[in-house]
Amino acid sequence: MSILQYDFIQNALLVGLLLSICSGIIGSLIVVKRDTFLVGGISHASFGGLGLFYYLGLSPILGAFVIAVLSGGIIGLASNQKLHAHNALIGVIWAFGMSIGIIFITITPGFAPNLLTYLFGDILTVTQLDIYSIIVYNIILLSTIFLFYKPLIVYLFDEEFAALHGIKIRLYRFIYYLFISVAIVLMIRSVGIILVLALLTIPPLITLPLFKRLPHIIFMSIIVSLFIFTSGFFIAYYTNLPTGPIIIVVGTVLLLIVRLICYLRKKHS
Amino acid sequence: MNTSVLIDVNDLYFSYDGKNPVLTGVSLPINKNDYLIIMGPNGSGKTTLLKCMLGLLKPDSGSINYHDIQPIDFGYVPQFTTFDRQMPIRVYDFIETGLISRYHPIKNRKNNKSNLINRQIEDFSLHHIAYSAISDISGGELQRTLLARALVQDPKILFLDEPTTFIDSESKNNLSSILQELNKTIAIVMITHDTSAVTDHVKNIACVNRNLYYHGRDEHLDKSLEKVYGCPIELIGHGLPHRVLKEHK
Repeated sequence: MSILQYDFIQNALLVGLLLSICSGIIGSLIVVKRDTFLVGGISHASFGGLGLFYYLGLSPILGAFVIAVLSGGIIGLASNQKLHAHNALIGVIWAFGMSIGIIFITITPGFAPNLLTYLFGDILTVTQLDIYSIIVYNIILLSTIFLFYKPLIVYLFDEEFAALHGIKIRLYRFIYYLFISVAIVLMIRSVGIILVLALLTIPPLITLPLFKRLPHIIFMSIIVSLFIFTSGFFIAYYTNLPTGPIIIVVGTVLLLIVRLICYLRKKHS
Repeated sequence: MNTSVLIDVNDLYFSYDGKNPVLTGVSLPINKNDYLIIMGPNGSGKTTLLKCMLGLLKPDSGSINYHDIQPIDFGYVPQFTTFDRQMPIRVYDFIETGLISRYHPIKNRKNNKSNLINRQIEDFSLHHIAYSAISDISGGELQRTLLARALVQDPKILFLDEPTTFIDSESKNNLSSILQELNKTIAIVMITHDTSAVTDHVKNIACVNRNLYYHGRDEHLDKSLEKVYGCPIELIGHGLPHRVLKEHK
């Protein structure tokens, strides 16, 4: 295959592999804990940070990171309070972040084409720095999961029971949100804000009905994620269509097929 | 202080929003080897009281004193409704989560806990479903799994929140004989609005509806239940004399 000889193609595929590992893990955790909406909120809010930092002449991706962590922190703090409007707050942060981002882009003099690539990402322009960041992140994520898998399960499945048994819920929540925020920022560079949510949620939604245990769901989500990413990438390359959206379409079609098979099998058993 | 008291609740006030009190001036002792039932209608603050005793909620005022007992000695069986049944975990692994307070990420990753878990699986006859997902088992089986998780670390006191709500009468009888057996060694505190959960093994009954009307086992119980539920109510349970219902006003 001749396209594999290009550096940027090799980089893109390597990023796909590395991102599949972190999105398979983080995605499984958020789907199991039912925090999908929260992740949508954080990723869209970070667009505000992109715009603000771009306006200030600073690194947009740093802005995205700051706002992702901040909004994660605000949402996390609010869930400690006896607030009923938690989901609504996420919705506000979601919309406010996007709006702020667009306002700052508008008032920044000159044309800002590279900001739009943060909405849909550009896997073909990833740098060595991007690759190294994801590698470091994956190493930290994997070792944390390895060491704290058992208390993590209790935290994910039953916060009340975890609190009763001396697990520091606030600390776990903080670390969990921090990992989510960093993963989102790493993914924004290559797949874009709009597609982060889909890449995180589609693989675990495919594997959830097929496996009984979280470790299997995580592992298979990584495999599914890698499959969706690679096949979407090549389809996009040969059809000359945008990569990110094609990846999501492939994932969604696979999700529908798997769920349909599950439904039919259940009906006939 | 009476040495046989495990938990001593004193003049407890609690509200979720700082304005509308859920519990007002509740005082209640829990004794060693107690079998206490806390009754009251929905929304009466039973679960709130339980969560205060467990240390999961912080009261506005009043105190809870623990004697010779720590949170690690609490076994807790939560309400079915607050519990996510769709989680991808097997019965065996789920029971293991009851031992989480003994876990250390480096020191005892692999200490031999399987005999503790297997003992619970045996006690509650869960062999056939030990490796099934939580989502694939019946209500009665989930009930026993929740009990096994609460008991696997040998608690000194067992708290149960509405344990009879979603199980059939056979499982209910099963549960009551399990609790009777357990009560020989540990204290039991059960929250319920189900008056049929009161059996003759129950040692104390408390009725909650914001305030608390505490009883030993005495003959004035129906008066307090009437106050709490707002209408005459009759206890019908095993070992209790059945009485004719008073006219409902």
